[in-house]
Amino acid sequence: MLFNSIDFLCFLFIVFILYWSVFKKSIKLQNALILVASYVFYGWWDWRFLSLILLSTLVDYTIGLQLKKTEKETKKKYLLWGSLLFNLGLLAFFKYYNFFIDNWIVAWDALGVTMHRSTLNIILPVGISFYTFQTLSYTIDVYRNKLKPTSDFVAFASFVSFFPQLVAGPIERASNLLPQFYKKRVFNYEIAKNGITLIVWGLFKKIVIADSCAVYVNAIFEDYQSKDSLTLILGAVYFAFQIYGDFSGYSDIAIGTSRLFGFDLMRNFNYPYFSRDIAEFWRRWHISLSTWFRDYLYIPIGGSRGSRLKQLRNVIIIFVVSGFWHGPNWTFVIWGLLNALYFIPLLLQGKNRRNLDEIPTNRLRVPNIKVLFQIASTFMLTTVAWVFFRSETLFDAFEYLKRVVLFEEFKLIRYLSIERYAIELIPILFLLVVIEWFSKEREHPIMGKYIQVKLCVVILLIIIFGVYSSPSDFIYFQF
Amino acid sequence: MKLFFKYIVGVFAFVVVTLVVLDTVYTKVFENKVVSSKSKYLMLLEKKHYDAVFLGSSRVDNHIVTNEFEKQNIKVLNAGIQGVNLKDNLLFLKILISNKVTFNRLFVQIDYGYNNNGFSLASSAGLLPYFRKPVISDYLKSEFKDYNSYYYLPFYRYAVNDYRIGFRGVFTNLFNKRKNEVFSDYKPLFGTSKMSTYQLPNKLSENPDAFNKIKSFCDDNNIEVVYFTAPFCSKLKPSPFTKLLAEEIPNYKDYSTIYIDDSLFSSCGHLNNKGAINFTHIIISDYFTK
Repeated sequence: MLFNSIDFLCFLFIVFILYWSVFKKSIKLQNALILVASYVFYGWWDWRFLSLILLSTLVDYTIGLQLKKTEKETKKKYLLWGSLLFNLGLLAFFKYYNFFIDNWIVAWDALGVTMHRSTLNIILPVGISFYTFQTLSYTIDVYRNKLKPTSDFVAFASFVSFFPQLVAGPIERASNLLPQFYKKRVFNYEIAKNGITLIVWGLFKKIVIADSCAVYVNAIFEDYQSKDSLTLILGAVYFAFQIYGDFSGYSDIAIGTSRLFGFDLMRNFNYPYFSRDIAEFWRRWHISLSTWFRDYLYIPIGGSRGSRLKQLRNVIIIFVVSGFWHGPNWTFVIWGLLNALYFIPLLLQGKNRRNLDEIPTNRLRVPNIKVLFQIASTFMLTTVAWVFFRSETLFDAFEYLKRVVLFEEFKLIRYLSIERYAIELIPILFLLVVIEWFSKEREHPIMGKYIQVKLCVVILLIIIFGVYSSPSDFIYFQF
Repeated sequence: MKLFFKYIVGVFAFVVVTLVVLDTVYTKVFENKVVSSKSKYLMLLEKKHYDAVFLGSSRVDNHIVTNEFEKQNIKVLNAGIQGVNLKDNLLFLKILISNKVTFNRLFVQIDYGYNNNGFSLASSAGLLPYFRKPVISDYLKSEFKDYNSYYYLPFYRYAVNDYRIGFRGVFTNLFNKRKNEVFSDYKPLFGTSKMSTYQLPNKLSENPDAFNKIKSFCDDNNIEVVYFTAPFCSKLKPSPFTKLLAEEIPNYKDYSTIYIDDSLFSSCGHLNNKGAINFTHIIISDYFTK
């Protein structure tokens, strides 16, 4: 069930009505409704994989309770390792099995040993990378005594499968989301209204921005060999906007939907393309994943402590693992590595935390040339990295970039020969940048003064400029 | 909660009003006399007489050179539209007749499309603004599965066909000055490429619903029809298909294998301009000079 479908609209309406009417009087009933709704929501794609979520829930619920019971540090460690092996094992099997087998064979081939290929036709369960990380956060936090284990199975199962953020995040920490399942939820008009405006803004980013860009991005990346330099540059820029619109749009809809049910999810994007350096970009982009890796991987392996060499190692590890988390392809690994390479100079100069403040602007809320240059260069660097993220293979990515720098046939004509919003897309993207720039102090643009007018304008834009003939899945569903 | 429901109702009301207003605006804009597509060109034709009308897909659109007919003082309408099926052809035929376009003879190009009973409304998107006109809606009611959504939901037909009749189409219609009179109904293809093999089906459909409907419509309206299969390149694989068509349809002419010279083709199923002119002369000689 896609967020941008009529099915979801009907589903949301029914669940919302039941939640605040029939099930209003008891938290337990509300949690049970969320659990059932979440399983229906997930089963809409493929009911077979519900067993995986249930299994993952049962394992971590049981391990949580066992961690509470035991005093022995060794047993606690075994339990933690049990959870890690189970969850990461699931992920490794469903997501990475064929990748490992293929690379294993290639490695032996390089040594002159021919091996029999035995790949499996494995279907990747939607959202597995998200909910396994979410349940892991629970076990790790319980192990670290940062969170009390729950004995309320329904609340825990609802936390694991909470439908607004089940398939593409934000990856919630147990310490933030789980306690919300214990508290009585009272309907708040202002919060619910804010949820609606956030959903509308998310839909704008998905249906207008991401899906419009997708038409071009697909046409350009699938046939990059025949495209000229300018077209390829535009293709990469469009992909930067596509993935932003797609993923941050999804996150906004997820957060907005949660607010309708009285839940507060963490912010996942904070206007990342206005970052002044890569370190700031990673504090603003996919925040729930970056902070997950920071808390559960980067800091445990040493973080920024220790020698310079160790710090570099830790940075490379976290970026490469983060890239690999996205999928079983070397393109993601290189994407992560490239981001590490962008980050390392800042770390070495001790400048990785220099841009923690608000972006400075003048009275007209315009940045100075230096800041503008910093923002543009950061965007350029991330766009180059996105080429790896979007390409099918490493060869394609390098060839794509090679064709860009060769500056062959730097003509606009070929680009314009693609149908649809050939010229219109550029002003639409410019409009997005302007709207977001003047809203960057707020959570999202449909806030502050004249909310109703802004809401009406955005709805109008969605209807007029939305792509309905070829709606596409959310990109992050594949991860 | 009451307040929130009022708010939601307000939002929905705004959406519905917007959809209705946009539907009206788009329809008004598209109903002007600017010819933005072949389907609209056909829709706007009124009270004209032709010696012959050619119906079909790209294999008519790219093959029937109307200027060549004009040189012989024969007035012909090329009503071929890229990507359409026989059921779309019947719709266009009905539109022409309802617009009082008369003709002495109808030519219908048929090939593998004989076995296809589907509808390809996307290819005829230029008609969608006129969806509620009886000649279109009466026909589509029984033929088009999305009929109710297209007919009753405001703006739906524009939204799901935004690729062709979205806001860009609106702008094209507002600012394009091209009128009906200057629209050429023949679309030439140029050049040639390496031909790939082409395969026609091995048997005829047992239920050629689309073909039967065209046939009975023509019978009912006393329309003289010639069915023909346009040429394919030399890479056409041997198949009994056109023979079977000839057995099934009395007034059928098979041109599928008349050329062995692939330089006349742009692709295996499409003649280039040179080939189209040559083919048009053959048609003129076969049907208009006796």
